[in-house]
Amino acid sequence: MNFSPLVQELIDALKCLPGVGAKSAQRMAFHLLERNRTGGSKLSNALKNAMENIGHCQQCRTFTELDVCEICRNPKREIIQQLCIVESPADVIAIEQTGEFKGKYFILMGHLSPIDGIGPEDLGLDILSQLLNADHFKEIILATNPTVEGEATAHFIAELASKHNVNVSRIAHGVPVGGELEYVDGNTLSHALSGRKSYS
Amino acid sequence: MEATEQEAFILHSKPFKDNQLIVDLLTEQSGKVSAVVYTGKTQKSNKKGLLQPFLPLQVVLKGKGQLKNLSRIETSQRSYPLSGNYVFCGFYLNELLIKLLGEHIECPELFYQYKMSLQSLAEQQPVEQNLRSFEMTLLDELGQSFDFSDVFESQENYFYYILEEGFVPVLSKLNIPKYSREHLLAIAEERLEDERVLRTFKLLMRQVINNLLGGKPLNSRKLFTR
Repeated sequence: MNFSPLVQELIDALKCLPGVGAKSAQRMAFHLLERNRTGGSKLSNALKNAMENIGHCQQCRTFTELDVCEICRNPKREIIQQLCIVESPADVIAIEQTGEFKGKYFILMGHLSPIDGIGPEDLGLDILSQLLNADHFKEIILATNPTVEGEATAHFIAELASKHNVNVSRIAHGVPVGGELEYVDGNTLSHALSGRKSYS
Repeated sequence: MEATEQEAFILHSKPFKDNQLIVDLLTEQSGKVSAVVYTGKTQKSNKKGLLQPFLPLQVVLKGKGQLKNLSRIETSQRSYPLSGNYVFCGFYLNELLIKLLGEHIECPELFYQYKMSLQSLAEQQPVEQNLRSFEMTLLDELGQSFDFSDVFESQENYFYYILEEGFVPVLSKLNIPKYSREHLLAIAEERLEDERVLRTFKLLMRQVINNLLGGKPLNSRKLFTR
């Protein structure tokens, strides 16, 4: 059976969401139409606004509707002169939640991956280079993911930063809190051992 | 048929649905293979730590189609610890394999050479010779090995390399690199100590690989250009 064109259009549009196939899209569409028309209108407005207005922060490249995002505009963040480099905006949220870091961020929106065709220019490293020229940072913290690609990205940025005479550090990797050594893979364990700290 | 355990390396992985990955593997017995692998939701079942490039794995592949299922993965030994620019070399090897090698063609020599190359990258030995011998093995596998016999027989000093024709003496001027006889003979006899020979070898390989890629760019090269 074919749905009327508008219904079909809605279902097809919903399928663009990750993890949503034909069946889920149909269920979502019917739910919105039957039970939650206000929610549906709100969603459509929010989507429209977001898609039209949200761009990238000129300094850190996170998603924002402003030219420069809240974190980059906060003068308190300047004081500590630290820059944390992460792969995605979700990583910023994760680090913000720890409350440990009070500096600024730079978001790469991915990692170096030659096979996927993602090179240095796709990660905004030219913007990063400008940022390092303009602002004076005491330390750059490389918080890319502990994957081979993440490590390669970290190395590439470290080389870039060495031209600007900035201290570069890499986040530690090891055993997760509440984890069990028995189930931790060998690579992580060997990192944990080689990066051990003296007990004081 | 392919339910035996064999050694393999991950070349590349990309996300597929929720909790699944499609990985490209270089295996000892089945050549290059694509496979689906379930990565699991919980910390304990998460295999992503295992699904990293340059880590020697023991895998079992199942399924009849082109796309296999990766039903068992275990590490056999420690990862080859590549650091700094050596990782970029590793990416280069992987990109060559992804872009040039056909699937499901058994290539034990290439697999062995890949392991040797990773080993030598991990030990931070000079990369040029290492990369060249890997490229030579890859060309052998692709049926594109060099035939130096014309160079040996000819008395000309300079040669062009033309795909499907091999080395031809420089008689008229073409807009492609030319190679000196002396250097080509050194390459044929694997005397690679001289810097200039290595440079010629690199140029030659670059020309051949670019031809084979048919104009597609090799992205890992960009990582070195600084």
